Amino acid sequence: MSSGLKVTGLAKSFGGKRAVDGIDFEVRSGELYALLGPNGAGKTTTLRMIAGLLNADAGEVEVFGVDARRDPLGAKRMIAWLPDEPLLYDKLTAWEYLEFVAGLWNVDTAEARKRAETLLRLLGLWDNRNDRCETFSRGMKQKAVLAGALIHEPKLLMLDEPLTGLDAAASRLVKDLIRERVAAGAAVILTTHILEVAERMADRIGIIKDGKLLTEGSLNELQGFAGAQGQSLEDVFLSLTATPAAV
Amino acid sequence: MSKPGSIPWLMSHELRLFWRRGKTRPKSGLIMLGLLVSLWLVFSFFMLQRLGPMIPPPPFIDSAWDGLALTAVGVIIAFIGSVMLSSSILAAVDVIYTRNDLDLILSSPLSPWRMLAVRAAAIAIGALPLYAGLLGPPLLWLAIFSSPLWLSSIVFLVSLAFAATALALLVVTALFRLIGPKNTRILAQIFSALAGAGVFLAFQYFNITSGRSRDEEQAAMAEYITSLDIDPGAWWLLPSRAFTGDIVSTLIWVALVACLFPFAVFLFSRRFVGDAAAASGMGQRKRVADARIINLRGGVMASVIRKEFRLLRRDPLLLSQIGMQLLYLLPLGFILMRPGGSLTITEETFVPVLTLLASTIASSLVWITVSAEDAPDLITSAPVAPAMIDRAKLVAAILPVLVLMTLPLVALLWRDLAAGLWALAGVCLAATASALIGLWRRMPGSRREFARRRAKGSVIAGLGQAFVAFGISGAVALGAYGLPLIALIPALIAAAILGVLYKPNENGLPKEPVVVRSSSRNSSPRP
Repeated sequence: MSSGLKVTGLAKSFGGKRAVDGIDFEVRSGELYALLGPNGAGKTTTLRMIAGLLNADAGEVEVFGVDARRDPLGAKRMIAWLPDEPLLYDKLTAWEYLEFVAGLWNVDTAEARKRAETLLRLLGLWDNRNDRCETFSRGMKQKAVLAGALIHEPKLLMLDEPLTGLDAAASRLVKDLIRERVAAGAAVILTTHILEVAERMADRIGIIKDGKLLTEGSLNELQGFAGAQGQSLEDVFLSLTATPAAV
Repeated sequence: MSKPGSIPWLMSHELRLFWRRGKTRPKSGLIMLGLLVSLWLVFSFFMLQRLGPMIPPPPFIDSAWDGLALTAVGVIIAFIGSVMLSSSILAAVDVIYTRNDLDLILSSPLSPWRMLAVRAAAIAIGALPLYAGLLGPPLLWLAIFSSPLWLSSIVFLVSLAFAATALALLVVTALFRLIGPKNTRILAQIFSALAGAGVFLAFQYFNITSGRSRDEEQAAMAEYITSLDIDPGAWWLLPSRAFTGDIVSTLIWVALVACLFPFAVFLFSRRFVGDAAAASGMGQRKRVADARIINLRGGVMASVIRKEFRLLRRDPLLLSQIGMQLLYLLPLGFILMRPGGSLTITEETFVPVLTLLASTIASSLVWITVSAEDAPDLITSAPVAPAMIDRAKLVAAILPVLVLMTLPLVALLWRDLAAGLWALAGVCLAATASALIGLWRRMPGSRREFARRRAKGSVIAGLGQAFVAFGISGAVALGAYGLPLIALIPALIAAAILGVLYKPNENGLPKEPVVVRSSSRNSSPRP
């Protein structure tokens, strides 16, 4: 498998506080990588730097061989970013939203129309395509944003808490879509606090704490690293990220 | 400390939110406000120390001249009341539509009536600070140097705010009943704009359409009013008498408001829970699916412009504010459109007016298109150069201004070619300069903060836009009056200010993580 995303020495400080402290990891094409960590560990900051939403203080990001610092637009062409909060334009309809996103990524209009229809049907939003997003529930908004993220068929999909606010059926649908993209050769990186999702879906898992990558690997490898063979990811995660109790 | 859940406790909560809205440093705001009020207090002291003893003590209820004076006071009261009504309507609509802490409060074991009475009172109190600051100090000195009866005017102003709020609640309740939740918000905003501008426009219309010069008009008006022999005891002068120290009228007025306010709150709160739920879209019948399949259109720049136009077109608050700005232009429009009329205002007068208006509208639009971007992450993560996005947003902000200005510009060009050309240049320059300053000095905010953008936005940008607009208006006005060389001075000042404000946006990225909440949530509560 070729490298989809290669992150080297990525660092970022806010007001003297090191939010991300020289992180290295790689996500291969056709691989799902789960980036886990406690609140404030630096997961979202890492993803935002990769997506080009935040300038890194140091480090390199390479997306399918394209240096994201030297050719940010070239890298962005291949990336889709799904934030934890579904930020939509309330006054646009779902169809108009997809038209806008397709326009930003300069997708051919005929192709965009076909993909928009497919995605909206798949996500159960077809009947609501001409409704304004302000009338959508949180789950519907999440689906609309996901459709927007997929309309340009990204090679690197970055998902920050993609299942927040989704019901069981929608959650299954999103997981299926993610698997489909992985099977098609995309590199997918996601953050989640639902460890069962990471345990079941991820090919490899990275655990981050205080801006540093503690360890990464398959579940088996993590269990070995933590000396917790046969235990769940939750147990492994807690044993690795536990803060020593004050004496 | 008041008991939690009591009316004083709820009121202190509302007032705290009111004071903090749009402010990041409430203490510095308080110091600044205190300083301004103190200055005004000192200035008005010296002014009224001399003038106060010359003003006859109230009440003014004896002669026809008192009737005239009371009529003049009535006009001022009508103006203040209309502005208060306008802001109260918007605030009352907010109470229904802005859910913020409503779910929390309504789910608590507090009576909704009590909560809404407090919130309505907070709306009334929120309408007061401007008038309290402007009129309070001189009225206090009047009470000392002329007659203590002038203190009744302070009581009157407070009760006027409560009366305006009561009327606003009745208007919003009626609109909700008559046209439903979807249209109430938009119509209430239009209603608010009309209420705010109504009195001003009515007077301007009568002034302008009479076809007489200003002196002739004033003389005719004075003659007409004198011939009326206005009875100062007339029922319709009750508010004026209450304002000017007639104790009986003040008591009647306060009693009327004391009945009206609880009645309006009662009507408003009776179905409030249902109305608020309806406004949030709950319990609506399932919509019949719109089966149209609209063709998708492409193009990076075109996509951004199209999206901005759609959002601008669908923003009722923005439209009502622009409508309000255009309403104030109507008096000039009345003159311009009058065929063959001899103008007491020359064509050249329109040049700076149109220029200033273009700048004001452009600054509103650019705030919406640039600062109030709902999905900044999407834009930044797209493979589009930030400069191209900025260009598209500038175009989206400037084009509507040019479209709005087309009619007055064509009319002006038709009446006076030179003035029209100067106005055209002024409009284009002012709109572009305002939009550029908004772009250079952007401050990310939520679209729903539009009404408070001046409080939340960059002070430098606001002042810069104002000064550059004045500079350009002055330059084109001087040009239109045949003084092109002198016009260079304000033009150069405007250019220098623009140069100082220039701040390139390196890569469109923030230095700190930007937390943007979904626009379906509100970032700061309103009273």
